[in-house]
Amino acid sequence: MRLSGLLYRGGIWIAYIFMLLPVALLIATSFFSDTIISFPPSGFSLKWYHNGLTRSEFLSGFIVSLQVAAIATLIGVPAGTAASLALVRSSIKFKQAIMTFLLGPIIVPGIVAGTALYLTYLLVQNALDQDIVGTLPGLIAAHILLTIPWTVRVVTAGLQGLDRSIEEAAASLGARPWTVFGRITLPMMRPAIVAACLFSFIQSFENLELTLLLVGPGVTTLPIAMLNYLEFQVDPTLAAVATIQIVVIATMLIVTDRTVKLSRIV
Amino acid sequence: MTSLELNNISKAYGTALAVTDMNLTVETGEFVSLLGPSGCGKTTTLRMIAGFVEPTTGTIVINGRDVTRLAAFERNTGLVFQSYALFPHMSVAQNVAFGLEMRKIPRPERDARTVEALQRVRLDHLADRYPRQLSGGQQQRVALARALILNPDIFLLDEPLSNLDAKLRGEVRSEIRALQQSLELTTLMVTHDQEEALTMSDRLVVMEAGAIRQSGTARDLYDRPEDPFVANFVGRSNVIAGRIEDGRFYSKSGDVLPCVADQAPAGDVHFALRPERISLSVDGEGLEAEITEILYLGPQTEYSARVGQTELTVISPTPGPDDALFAVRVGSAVRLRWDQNFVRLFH
Repeated sequence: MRLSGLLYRGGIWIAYIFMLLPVALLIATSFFSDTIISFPPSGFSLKWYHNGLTRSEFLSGFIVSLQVAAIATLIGVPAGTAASLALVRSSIKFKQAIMTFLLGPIIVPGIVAGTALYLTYLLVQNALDQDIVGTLPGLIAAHILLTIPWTVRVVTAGLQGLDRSIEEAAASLGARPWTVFGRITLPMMRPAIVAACLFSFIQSFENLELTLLLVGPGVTTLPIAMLNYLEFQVDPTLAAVATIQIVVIATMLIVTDRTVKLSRIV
Repeated sequence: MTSLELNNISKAYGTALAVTDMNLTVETGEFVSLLGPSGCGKTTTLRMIAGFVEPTTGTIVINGRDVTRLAAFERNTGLVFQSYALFPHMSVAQNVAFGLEMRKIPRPERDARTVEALQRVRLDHLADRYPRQLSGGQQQRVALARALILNPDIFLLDEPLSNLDAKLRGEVRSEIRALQQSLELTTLMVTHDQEEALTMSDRLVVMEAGAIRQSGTARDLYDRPEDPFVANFVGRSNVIAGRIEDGRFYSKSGDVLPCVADQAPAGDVHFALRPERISLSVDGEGLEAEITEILYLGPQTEYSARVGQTELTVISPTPGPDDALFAVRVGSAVRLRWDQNFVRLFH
């Protein structure tokens, strides 16, 4: 009895270590003073953080990533929520096909979607005689292709778990359909919608493959800026930038968990 | 004035009929239960009265007003669900006040009536709690307060006690009945539990396969069931198929079961006799039988006794050590007797 309990605990510890060790090493490396990452480090330094925070491409990349993620989430989550409501509640036909269609961008391999989008943009650019590749609106439109599927996935699951009799109770108490939606359905959907915002934002912020071909001078996201840096220099600056990202996202998750118990949604 | 009228109500889903040509009247202040097995149409009927399902044919009249085409929010019905259906993101007080809010009742009056409603179910001290912090029984009482605060024309209950454990059921049952009687509310309850129906209702309506089989008081249905289904659904019944010949009943296997059959016409019949109406003894007069199974139920014991080739179920108070029946085991020879007036014959 005790041995199997010990093995079980041991297994869990190993799993945690396996998952978190790379992250821990990353954070550790960001403080090593050597330019070439070596172990054991000869000293510790904050110079990589200084480098990361002052280089213009990282700063502008951060701002662009933030803008794109925020706006893509702001547009994608309401649209995805509306789609989920239609898919779960209405009696339209071909629901499964529509669902598959909406989830398409995240099912298809990222680089395939990215290339296809790039080619589409080129076609549209020529037809409209307007720049799209390398523009902020172009990036935002591309990232909406990420936020909508993630929202549909999360909100649909949330809606399916909703007890309809609660809405019926509201109706029996005199609530008109729109009142039921605003006072009962939407508040009960809050955990799912918050989760959708979170997932959408993170997916957009971290995205590489869809964004790769669509960036341009001055309009580059942070992950791409980091990738570019890697082409010329391999030093712990990226570890520092990555650590900052981890801290930012972790803070977002903790804050969200305070308002909406994430363990109930994920 | 009748409070509720269902006139020729039916509901079809495609070609399947969930409810067929149903006619029902409920008087003001009456407590009626719709009783039946799963799929008999009782819940569909309730939902049509509430306004969640539109009838295929027929009309529903509440207090003289035809509500058939009205949406749920336009009918003045109070609903209590099996799952309580409390609003999870609102406090107990907000839940109860919701209906008043929908009617745009001003704040002071709303608060006063909410306190009163909560006091009636003895939950005023929990007004600021949230549903997830309450026990099942408490949640159900909040649901009651929420539904009753609006003085509904009709009080509708959909299996309100199913989610509660046995001990709690009795308490909430009495609570509902007491509230209903003190407020003189016209009430319709759907249940598959006959004990619930028998103890709470003024009148029972037994349904099967979308139609009403029999309607009446608990005594009517228990003592004078009109068909074998009702005989075995309200209370339990031995139902033996057979025929009447020469003024006697013969079961399919040829055994004679005593009953008042000399006035009955010859032909195929069903013989129905309740298990608790059969007396069991170890000797004396009566039909010879052999015990094939014994089920101990606490205060009562259920015996399966074979008369010839016919199996009868007998329910008797559990014998104490001084009782002759104490020694009865599987395989024992016993005698069965019953008052023949308790036998129902269905053609």
